[in-house]
This record gives sequence, structure tokens and C-alpha cells, in this order.
Amino acid sequence: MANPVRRLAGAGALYLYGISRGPGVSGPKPLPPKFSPTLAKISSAGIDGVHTVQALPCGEFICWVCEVDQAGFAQAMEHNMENLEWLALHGVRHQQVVGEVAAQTAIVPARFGTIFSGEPALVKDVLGRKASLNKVFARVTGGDEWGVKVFAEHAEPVAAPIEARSGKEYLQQKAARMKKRPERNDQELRELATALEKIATDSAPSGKVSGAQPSLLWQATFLVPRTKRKQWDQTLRNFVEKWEGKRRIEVNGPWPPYSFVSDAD
Amino acid sequence: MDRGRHTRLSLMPTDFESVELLGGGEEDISLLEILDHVLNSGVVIHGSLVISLAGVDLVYLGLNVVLTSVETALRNLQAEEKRRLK
Repeated sequence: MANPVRRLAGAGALYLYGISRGPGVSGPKPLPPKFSPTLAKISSAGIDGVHTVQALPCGEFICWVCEVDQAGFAQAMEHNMENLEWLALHGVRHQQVVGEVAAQTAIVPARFGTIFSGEPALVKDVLGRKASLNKVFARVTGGDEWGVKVFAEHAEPVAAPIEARSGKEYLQQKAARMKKRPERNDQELRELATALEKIATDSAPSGKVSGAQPSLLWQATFLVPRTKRKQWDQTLRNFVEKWEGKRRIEVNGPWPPYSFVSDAD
Repeated sequence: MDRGRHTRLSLMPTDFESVELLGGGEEDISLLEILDHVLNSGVVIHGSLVISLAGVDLVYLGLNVVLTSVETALRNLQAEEKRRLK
């Protein structure tokens, strides 16, 4: 018997933030008893800053969506993705909603910018990947994503100015210099990585956007079970002490598991 | 170091214990971190593909430039939300 699907008011396209499990679904970790998608109120603004976020029942799943204007938003998005200002604002909006849901129940975040032409297309797609979604839920439920970065504490010696005849040549030389940074893959950094990987369920490379931060030596993203949070913090603290004055560690999180859901594709 | 007191969009948080973002309330996290994680799920940013051909991540520099305008946009967003919640 198919679950009835609530019809959304308008006929616009649907922006998908991510997918949760509906209430009453058995799994490794059932939803907290208080959670009810129909009562869950997402207070953050929708992706377009106009529409509200809605919980759309979809079989055993809940899709977190926001209606968007087909012409004004959906079709302009590919072009807008190249606009950093647009990307920054909408990336923040995306995170606000996904983060709000993640604080209430496990969510498998959709890729940023996922839009469906309408409800039937969304429902068909989600129901079609039921098995792989359930696998991902089993892995990410009860875990948070954490980013870890290591910076050199002392400023590197001032490099000689780059001499180049063209912009392209300048960039090539700059890239070559950045590759030569000596400390990037030394024994101690590997020790940290190994220690963190032992606690984490999974790890992934990170830093598409912030990869060029000055003095950055190493960075990675981890999926950490909430039950191991103390051990995680303590391990990091140990390295902070050990490296005092030499290297600085920055950790950011807890994030929804953005980097660990791609096998639901 | 000024621990735990950096602003919402500070570019470089100074201490790992000061950066927490789930559970609503004060979100103390840099824009760069948000984009790092939000975009880590494999999205192709056409613009950044073109400019990172030389191996230099110019998106970082570009983001510096837009930080101010995003900060303003965020402030408006928050004000808007407050109004809606009233």
C-alpha cells in the first residue's frame, strides 16, 4: 500500500535539502519518540529566501524541500553557481536548514543545488534509491561530520616576489610554490591522521574552497560517532598540547554528514 | 589569543573548542567552512573549475572579497527571521 503523499500548494519546482526517515521506521537507531515531521518546524528561511521549508512524506522517508520558482530560481541556478556572492548566501541558507533538521533527526543531505521539476519526479527518484539510502542511513545515523585543519604556527619566510610575464605564468609559478611546502606530509601529521581515523567511522578529503588558506599544512573531514565524542576531543587536545607553538589545530563541527553520503547517488 | 570570541563570519576560528554549530542559536563558524562542507558532496562549481586550472585555489581570494556583502545579507536574514518569529 502506497503512503498517501501530501500535495504541495503551488506548482513550482522543488529544492531538496535532504532526506530523513519517517517515524516508526525500524533501523539501527529509531527516531527519538518526540520527533514528528509534521510538527517539526524549520524556522530558517527557504533557499530562495521567500518560501518556507516543508517536510514531504515520501514512502518511508521524509524529504525536506522548499518550493522554488521554475524560471526565476531553478533555471538561473547553473549560471548562479558561478557567482561567488550567490553561492555564499545560498550555501549558508542550505546549511541553516540542513543543520536545523540534523539537530532533530538523522538526515542524508542532498547535493547542494538539487532541484526537481515537481513532486512526482522527486518521489519517483527517492523511492528508486530506497536500498542505497537505507545503507547510508545505517552508516551516518548517530554520527557527525567534523573538519580538522592543521596550520603552521610560524609565518613562513617571505618568499621572493614572483616574476612572470603573464597572469597564467604567475598562477603556474604560484601553484608550483604551494606544492613545494615542506611540512605537508610529514610523520607527525600522519600520526594525527591515524589517531583520528581510529576513532572515526570514515574520513574524506576536504577543502575545496578553503584549500588556499595561508599556512595550512593538512586538512581532512571525519565522520565521528557521537558516542566517541569525548575520545575524539581528547585526542585532539593531546595533539594541541604536543604541537604548542609549532602547529595550530582547528576543528569545526558538528556538521550534517555532507561528505559521507555520495554512495546514495 | 582571543578564544571563543570571534564573530560569526570570522575567517579563521582560533580554537577548536570554540566552533560549534548544531542546535540553533549562535552559529560561530566561518563562511569558508560552511562552503567547504556544503560543497564537499561533489557539486561541480563551474566558475571554480575554470580558475583553478593553474592549481591555485582562487575561490579563496574571491570569497574574501564577497565576505562583507554576505555578512550584510546574513544580518538581514536574521532580522527577517526575528520578525517572522514574533
